[in-house]
Amino acid sequence: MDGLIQEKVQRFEEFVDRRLKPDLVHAIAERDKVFEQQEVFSNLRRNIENLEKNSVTSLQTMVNLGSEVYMQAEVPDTQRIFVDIGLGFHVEFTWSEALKYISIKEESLANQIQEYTRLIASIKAQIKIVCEGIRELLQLPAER
Amino acid sequence: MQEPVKGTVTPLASLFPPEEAQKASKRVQDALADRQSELDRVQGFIADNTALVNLVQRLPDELHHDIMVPFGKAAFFPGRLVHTNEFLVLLGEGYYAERTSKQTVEILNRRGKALESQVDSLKAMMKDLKAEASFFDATAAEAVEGLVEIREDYVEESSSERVIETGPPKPDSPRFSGEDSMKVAAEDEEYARMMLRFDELEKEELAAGSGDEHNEADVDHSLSQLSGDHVLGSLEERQVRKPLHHSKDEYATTEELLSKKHFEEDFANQLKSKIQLEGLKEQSVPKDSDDVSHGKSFANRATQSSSRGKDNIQALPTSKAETSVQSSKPATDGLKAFTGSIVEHTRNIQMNPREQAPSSSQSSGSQPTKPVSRFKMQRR
Amino acid sequence: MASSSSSAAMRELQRELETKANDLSKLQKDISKNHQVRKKYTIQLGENELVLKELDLLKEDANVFKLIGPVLVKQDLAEANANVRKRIDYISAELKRLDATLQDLEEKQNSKKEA
Repeated sequence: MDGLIQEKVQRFEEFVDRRLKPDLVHAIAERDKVFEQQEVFSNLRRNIENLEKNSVTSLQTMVNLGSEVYMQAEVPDTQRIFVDIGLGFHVEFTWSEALKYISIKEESLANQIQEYTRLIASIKAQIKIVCEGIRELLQLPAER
Repeated sequence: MQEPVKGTVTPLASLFPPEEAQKASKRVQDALADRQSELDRVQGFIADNTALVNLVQRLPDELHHDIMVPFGKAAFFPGRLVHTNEFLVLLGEGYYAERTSKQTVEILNRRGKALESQVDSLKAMMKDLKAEASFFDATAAEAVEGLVEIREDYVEESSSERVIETGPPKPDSPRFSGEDSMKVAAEDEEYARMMLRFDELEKEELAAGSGDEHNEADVDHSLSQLSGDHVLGSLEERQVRKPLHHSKDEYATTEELLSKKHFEEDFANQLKSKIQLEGLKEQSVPKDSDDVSHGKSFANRATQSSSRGKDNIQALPTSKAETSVQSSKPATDGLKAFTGSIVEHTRNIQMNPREQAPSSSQSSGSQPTKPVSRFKMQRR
Repeated sequence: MASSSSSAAMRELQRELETKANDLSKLQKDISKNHQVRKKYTIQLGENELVLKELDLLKEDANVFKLIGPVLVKQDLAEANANVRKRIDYISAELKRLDATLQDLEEKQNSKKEA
């Protein structure tokens, strides 16, 4: 009887350590990635809105050539902007098109975040349940 | 007093338990892996740097280059690089300087050189670690095979005069296990052959620092000679060689303690030189680099004591307290020199037949160096 | 009576030992912290020395900027030079101070070990 319980407890513990906890770590990492993307796009939106507000038509910036060496660059025409749509593709947009795309993208990112948050919560709940199960298994014989 | 003292034979396994040696080897391997990843990182930097040098050199060839100008992380504007001979270079700490292509290349080349030297030092470090790892591996293997370690007293400067311990165990030498010495006797010719090889190394060691042998001798010395031995150690440290005089009848606890310390030092020094020196032969450890540092830290003491020691090799009885003070004073040096291994060898030392002595002073690594002369005989 | 007093002495001894062990581990913690801080400063010192070397190689009329937050501020070369020097001095002093503390700590540690 004791051996059976021992075995069960061990199986549960293994499940928590090898399956649930790595899953949790992975889910959190994924969600952080999405958070980052969300920030990138909200920055981009703010920047484009700024350009619009100041009706900027040309632009001078510094480009990082690598290892913190910069060179001046100019953009003669800011009307066309190329936005990263993932998988290495960039699409040429006008400002309004870009803003539209960004808001759609932001929505999708928000959904992803919600999904991940839910996943994380459920994994946490599972861990708790299994841990509770282990405790019960260990306590019952003690109470008897 | 003048009778030559025989050496000791200790099974290697009792000095370095195989598991311990393997553990140590594992740790060295881990350190090696760390260095390797660091090396990869730095080499990545170098590749980036050379690529950048090429780019910076080429850019001023044209007045401007059409590029996609990054706008945030996720967007680009079609644009072009202008002022292709003006670079803004980060110097570090938030300082930027405006430079031309040529000047930028100079800066980058300087950076490249710094990186190269980093690579060099990393490689040297890895080489040392590899030597250390192979030492631990070899030690582990040898310990398993039942190798014995033989230590002898250095009697005369001339290597030909050294006394080879081949006889049956002396009844008065408690460190001798009879079994071991029998083995030794069987290995006579090989011994002789090895002698030639070791003599050279031996000389080198002795020239560089005090011979390990007279640590052994120290054990055998009467209490009254303790201070004299210390002096001798210091003297040898400063490359002054003196014949040693040994008596092997008295065994005070102090001496056991002392010898134990020396033992630990031996191991310590061995390890240290393993780390510090490249291309070491397995068991013979030149002590040069060691001695330089030790010599420095001990210059004072050596000078002080040498005057005292020269005229009284048979020194006046020294109190136990003084001895221990002497040996434990400069403990910090030893600790600094290598933190990791000390733990290791303390345990090893516990396996030594003389473990009864209290192990209070694993930190006495900065005692006069005691290079090790060791002959390893393989059981057949 | 004798036994109770001896057991009290024992307890006293044990407590003493515990406090000593605690002190020792605290010292060791301090030392490792000291090492960490020192490592950080050493790296900073190296970087600053590199900057100084590069600044020294610049001609007087070179434009030097300092990144303060998100803004690049133009700086006088002499001023930048002085700033970096001051920084190096500060870091060196700090390192020296850390060395002294470390030595102190190690001495304490050793005396504790002996005890």
